[in-house]
Amino acid sequence: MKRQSRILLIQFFLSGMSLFSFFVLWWWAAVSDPRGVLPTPQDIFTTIIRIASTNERDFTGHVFSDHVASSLFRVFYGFILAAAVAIPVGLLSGWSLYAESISKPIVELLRPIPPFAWIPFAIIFFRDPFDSVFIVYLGAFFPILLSTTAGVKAVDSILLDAAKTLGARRQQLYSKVVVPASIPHIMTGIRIGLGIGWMTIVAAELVGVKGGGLGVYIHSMSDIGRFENVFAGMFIIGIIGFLMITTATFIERRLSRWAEIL
Amino acid sequence: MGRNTLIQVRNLTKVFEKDEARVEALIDLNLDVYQSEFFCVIGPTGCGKTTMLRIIAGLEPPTEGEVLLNNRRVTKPGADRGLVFQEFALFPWRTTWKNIEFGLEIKGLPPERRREIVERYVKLVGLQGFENVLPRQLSSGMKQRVAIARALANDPEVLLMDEPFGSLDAQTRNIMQRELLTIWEQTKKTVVFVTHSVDEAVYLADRIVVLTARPGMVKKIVEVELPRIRDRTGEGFYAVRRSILQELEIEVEKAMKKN
Repeated sequence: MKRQSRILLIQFFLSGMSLFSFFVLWWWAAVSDPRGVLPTPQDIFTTIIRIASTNERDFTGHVFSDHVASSLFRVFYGFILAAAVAIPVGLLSGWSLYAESISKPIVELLRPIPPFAWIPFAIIFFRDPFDSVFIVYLGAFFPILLSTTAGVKAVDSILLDAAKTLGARRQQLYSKVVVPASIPHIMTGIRIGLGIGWMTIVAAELVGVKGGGLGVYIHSMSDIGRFENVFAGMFIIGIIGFLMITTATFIERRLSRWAEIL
Repeated sequence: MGRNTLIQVRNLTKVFEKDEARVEALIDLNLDVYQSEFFCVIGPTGCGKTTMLRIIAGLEPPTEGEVLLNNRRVTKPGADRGLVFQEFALFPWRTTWKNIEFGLEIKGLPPERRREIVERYVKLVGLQGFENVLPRQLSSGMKQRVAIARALANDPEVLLMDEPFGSLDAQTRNIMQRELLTIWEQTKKTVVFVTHSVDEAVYLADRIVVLTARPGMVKKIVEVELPRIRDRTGEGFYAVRRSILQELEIEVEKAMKKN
């Protein structure tokens, strides 16, 4: 117990030092940047406070919270669609070799294409907001699909045998064994998919969306050379992403408590 | 003797073929298991004991021959044959209660009826106080109690047990054997119990079948007429042990030579 708390203290100290050194190095890089382009950490911090506390519209016609709300909306939209398709497809193709034979060639063909490469296609084929939602969808889809498929394949066959001897028929094997047994894997896919979906937001908003967005904000501020605002936007993306992943991890742990891996 | 035959194993042959390899697990096996008896199957490792049990359970199709339950041919798994695995095979996301309830859910029994039954079997295997605990938090002995309760709650005609106490320590094992006998006496279920422990078989069984080394055939059937609860150190107990061990030793040696 005593030893454990000491280890915890050391870990805490190291993490703190690491973060502190990061900001010191950054600050040093910023003040010694001869072009003066890189803002210092305090510049960014004050910029975040300023843009978060003002109701003034920027030159794109939006207040900052509009940008945040728009991006969140697009990411959740794309993510929910991705999960709604990827989970059933994954459950099916993990269970049935025939279903896998149908889905696998298409999945393997499309998976290596970066979501960003789809932007021209999205602009032509979808209307706002589905163009940007589509990019997020692509980012979130594959991790959820692959995890779900892996989860179904990892179901211990002895559990299926046990369920059969207890009278379960095929459909009940599926709903009462395969699906619940796959939940930890599905949740891992959801966490990773959500993270990647959020990371695609800046590029997704390159499609020229209406209604703002953090991606729009960053591009616009970059165009007029306001780098402290660009960095402030990046930071907000980082913080929101962090909060999302933390929440997803929390839910994942709760739902997977029965699995001894966590 | 007027005993009703519940299970008939007729000319049962099982050959596993994988790539080029061909393994004969069982050859022309014939057995009868009577209603309400405690029937033990013993034999050297790899003699096909587990395969036989899985065929009776309907999890594995025979290559030739058949298994009849109440004169009806076994073709697939069903709730009339409960199986208890050595690895427990509990659903890890379900609590003790929900594990025992599984088969009743499958049957579609109403909730009040399910509660009644689960409550009874929780009590029967002595798991009161652990109803809402997940399998990972239970000891091995307790896990196997849950598995036994889960199989019994389904009210099967026969309880198939595949080395259920094989992974337990010696003390827990002895306790579980005794508790299993109590449960068996209360429920009067037919039990087919696979083990590689002679001691366990002699302690539990009405009759013991000794299988030969692979491919498995019936070597000998022994009736154990000692009164229960049996004294593991008694002379009668030793006499039965000795006769089985002698048969078994020859087979184990054969099996070792083959490997």
